[in-house]
Amino acid sequence: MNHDSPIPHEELDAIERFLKNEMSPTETMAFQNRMQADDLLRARVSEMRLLIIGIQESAISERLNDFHKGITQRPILNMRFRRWLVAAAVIAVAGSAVIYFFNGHRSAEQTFAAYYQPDPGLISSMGAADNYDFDRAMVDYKKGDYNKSLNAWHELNKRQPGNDTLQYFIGSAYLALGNAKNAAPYFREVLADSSSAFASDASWYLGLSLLRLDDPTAAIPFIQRSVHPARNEVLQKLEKK
Amino acid sequence: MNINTSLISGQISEGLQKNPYILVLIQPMTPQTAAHEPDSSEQLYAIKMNDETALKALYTDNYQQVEKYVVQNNGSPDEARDIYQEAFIAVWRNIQLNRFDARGRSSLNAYLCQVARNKWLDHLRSARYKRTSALQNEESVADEAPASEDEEQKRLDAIKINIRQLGGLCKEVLTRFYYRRESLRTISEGMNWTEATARNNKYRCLQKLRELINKK
Repeated sequence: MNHDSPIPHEELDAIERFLKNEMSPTETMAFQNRMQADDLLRARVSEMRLLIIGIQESAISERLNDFHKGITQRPILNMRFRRWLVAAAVIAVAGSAVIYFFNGHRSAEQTFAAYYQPDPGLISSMGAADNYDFDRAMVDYKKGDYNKSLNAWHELNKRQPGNDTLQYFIGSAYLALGNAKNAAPYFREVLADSSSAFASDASWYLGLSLLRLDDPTAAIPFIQRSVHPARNEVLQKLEKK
Repeated sequence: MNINTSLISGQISEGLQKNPYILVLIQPMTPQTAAHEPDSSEQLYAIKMNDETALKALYTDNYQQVEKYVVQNNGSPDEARDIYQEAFIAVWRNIQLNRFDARGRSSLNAYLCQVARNKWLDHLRSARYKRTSALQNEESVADEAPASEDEEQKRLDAIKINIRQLGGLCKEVLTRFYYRRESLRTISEGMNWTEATARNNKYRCLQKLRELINKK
């Protein structure tokens, strides 16, 4: 029995009529009896049944995208999009908080920038031999060669620890380089000796260093202790918070 | 991640407690109440006859519900469309095979939504979502296809693949005759043939398709 053999045209017509319920009741019964007795016929009917549905299914599948075009699109706020929106909102809120935060603190740095001037340095007297190294470095400092002066003064500081002049200018050189973090401890050292000639200036520059380091609260007492001409202005700005 | 267990049946919430890696929160599908309720037997007959208006209405009436369900349950609108179209074809097929019993079901609309929902759940349960093991406890509507239907599905898929290889003319003749249910007379007029030619061409195209399928 070759199920693949071509179905005779007449038989095909009959099978189709049977499947479409186009046969009369007697015809149907007769056909069903034939099917019971004939394996091949039964197989062909089964095959045709599926084939017809397959042809239709193929056709309807192609219609579906056209049907879909008839769907009026409503924007669906799906879960992922919703989560993205929440995340975006959180970032926006956090972002504005950060900006607010930084704006508050940028004014400390802005105050520093507005009022900081590097210490002009000492008038050097190149004559005296024992101060030669210090003076040599001071020349470098005044030229703006802060790193070179720092190298020399650090060397001297090792040999002569506790010298407030050295400590003050090491701090000044650091601050001139923008390194408030390294400058501050040197200014504090100077202030440890209240009788130092550099105390008032050290206080001023320590205050400014602390502004540069974004700590206006800590800066205020030191600014207050200084006698710098801009002292009051700076205090006014800092106390405006 | 907060899991709203009030939305989920007791079985699932138990599973969720056991498995901390659940990525899926199952939201229930609210049943669609159609604006109009056509006589279901009429609707059924129209769909069986592949009436375009009836098919289109069935499609558009139920899509939004399914999209909402899929999207609320870890899916995208594209996935929703694909699952819905699969479900739509499956429902249509059951109607063609006289497997849809209108008397035992609420409505064709609800049935379509149900099939779509089950297909989505099956998708979530598949290998790609191994971590959502709690879903194994989820009650699914008894629509498990028996083995014979899987075999049927395979044969239908083979038919669909081979139809694409048929060629435009045969495809059109067979589509007109079997899908649109046009008479040979209508086809002959449309294709500028005699009725006898139309009959012969239809026969030849069908044989050609059979050969393609049986060639394997």
